[in-house]
Amino acid sequence: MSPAPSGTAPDATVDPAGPARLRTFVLADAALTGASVVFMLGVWATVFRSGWLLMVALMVSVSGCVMLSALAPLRRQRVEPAVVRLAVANWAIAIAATAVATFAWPIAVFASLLPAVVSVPYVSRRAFHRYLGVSLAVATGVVALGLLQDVTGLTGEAPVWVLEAVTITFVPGMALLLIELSLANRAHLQRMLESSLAANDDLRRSEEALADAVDELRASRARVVAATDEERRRIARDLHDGSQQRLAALGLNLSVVRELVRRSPDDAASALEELRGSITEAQADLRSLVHGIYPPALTEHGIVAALGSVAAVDAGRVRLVANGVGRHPPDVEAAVYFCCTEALQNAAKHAGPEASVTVTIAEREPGWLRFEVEDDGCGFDSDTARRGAGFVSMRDRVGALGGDVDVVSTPEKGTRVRGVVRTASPDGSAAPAGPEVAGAQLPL
Amino acid sequence: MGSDMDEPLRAVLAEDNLLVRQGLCSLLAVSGVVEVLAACSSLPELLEAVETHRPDVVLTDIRMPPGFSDEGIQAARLLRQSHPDLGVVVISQFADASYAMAVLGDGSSGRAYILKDRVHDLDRLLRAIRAVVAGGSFVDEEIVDVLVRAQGRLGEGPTDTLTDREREVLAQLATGASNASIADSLEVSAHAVEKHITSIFTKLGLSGGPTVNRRVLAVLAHLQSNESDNEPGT
Repeated sequence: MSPAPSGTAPDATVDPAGPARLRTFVLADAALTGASVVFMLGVWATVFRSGWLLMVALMVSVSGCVMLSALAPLRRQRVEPAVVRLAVANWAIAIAATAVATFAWPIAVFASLLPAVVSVPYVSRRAFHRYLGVSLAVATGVVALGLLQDVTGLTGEAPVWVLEAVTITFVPGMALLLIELSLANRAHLQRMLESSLAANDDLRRSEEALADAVDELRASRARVVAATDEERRRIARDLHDGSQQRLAALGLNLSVVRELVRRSPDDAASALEELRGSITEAQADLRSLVHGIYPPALTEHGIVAALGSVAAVDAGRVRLVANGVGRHPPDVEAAVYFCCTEALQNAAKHAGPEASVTVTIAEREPGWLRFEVEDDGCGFDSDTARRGAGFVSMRDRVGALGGDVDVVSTPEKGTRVRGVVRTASPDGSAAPAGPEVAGAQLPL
Repeated sequence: MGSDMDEPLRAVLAEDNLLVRQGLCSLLAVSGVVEVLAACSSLPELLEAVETHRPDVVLTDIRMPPGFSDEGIQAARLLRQSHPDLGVVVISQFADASYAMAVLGDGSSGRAYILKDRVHDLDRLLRAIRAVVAGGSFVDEEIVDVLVRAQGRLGEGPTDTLTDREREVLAQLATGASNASIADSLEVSAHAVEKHITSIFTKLGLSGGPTVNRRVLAVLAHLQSNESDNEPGT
């Protein structure tokens, strides 16, 4: 909470303790006022009957009522009207008391400054300056009234012990009150400052977290672009080294056949047979290249069919469990397919020849597609696994779809890659907030 | 060193892809004109085979072990020093004018540059082989096409001023064809061909009447220099 700019009042509801604190003060002030009225009446009754005493008591009582009326707006959580009433009451008491009992001017000075100190946490800076101004004016007026006039003559008439008793009782009391108010104001400011600093800290932490997230996103995006370029290079290389060379060789062999046709037709016939074989090989080559790039089965029939054919290649070792999994948007199917094949390749490379692998696909929650590739091979260190380029690219793919993936591996026990991606529900509605992946029990 | 048509030309082959190497060997064998003495798959192998067999002609791919960059072109240059009378036919996957210039740059005699796409064209292959064995040169017309088209794309260059017919003649010129054969293939008179050539050379600012070798080199050099003017870092 920043300090309020001049002209606007701080919101009392932001500091909910405010009205309650003010209420306590109003009651204390009123009690003090009441006590002084009782004292004056007591003095009048027992020591010194003066009409002026009664008049002072009356004026102070009236002001006390004004003071108590400040409680009403406080009940409705409106502090500014309460402060006004409190101020007016105190000033009135100060002026009235000094006008009549001039000896009371030290007490009245404190009383006239009270409104300024009280108002600090409750009013705007401009209003505070007004309170301060009036308080100083009243204080000055009170001093003048006390020293420069004595219309009523009460001071001269009253017994000295009365004057002394009043001064000794009330001046320290008022001073303590003012000091206590100042300390309360200071504590209030301290609290406001601390909450402001805490809010600042929160903001800075949020900014840092955001900056980190932006950096990670940028890095991830760069990785994805680099991976795409690498893929293109690989495809170009495969096509160049494979199909292009095969076609060049085919052309050469056809020219051979053309010459053979002229010189030795029998040889030509067998050469043509060989050529047919070459073409079949070239076709198989291209087919597996295409499959490696993006399997037609994935586009045509979905994840289950595509992964099924991958598993079938090594049916003794690889098992696919995918009950009731249907079609999903192409980017979702691609992400799950390529993550699973990446994990399968890793298992083939690192799990050892004895290991068996299970691939599980499940659609347990609407809007989320889960996948898991688990082997019982030799395993390795989980942290090393997470740093591998293949896993990082899995995380990039899956992250781009609002999902998550993790790998857990135990040496001698096996490895498990587990992931989940957000997918569109059949009715096209978005998925609810994401389920935890890492560490959570996967209900498959 | 003339070519004796009754005796087969002795050749050494360098190509790192197995299928293409086998195909080329078969084709040359079945032609009855060329005898393949050795089929190599790397630059060091090629140089050694040339020393061992002393062939009449070398046919080499450009990209090979050990570096897979421009080994074939290095071979052409090295052999120019060690075996100046040996003809080299460079077979390239790409219609790259800078490669062509590298092959022909230090003298076009006994050098040819053909595309792998056309290598199965036995007639063309034999023409290139015979040309280099005779000390001449041969450049696939596609290379010239590429250069001329590149010129046109960039909008600059004197080849812009050539007519379509003149461009055709230019392409044929680059293959080392004689005026007579150009006239034949374009189905115009020899006189017309001479006029075109004069016009081309005038437009390109080349001196007239050089030998076939110099014509090829001059044309290529001119086109190449224009290309590198307009395309930085070629």
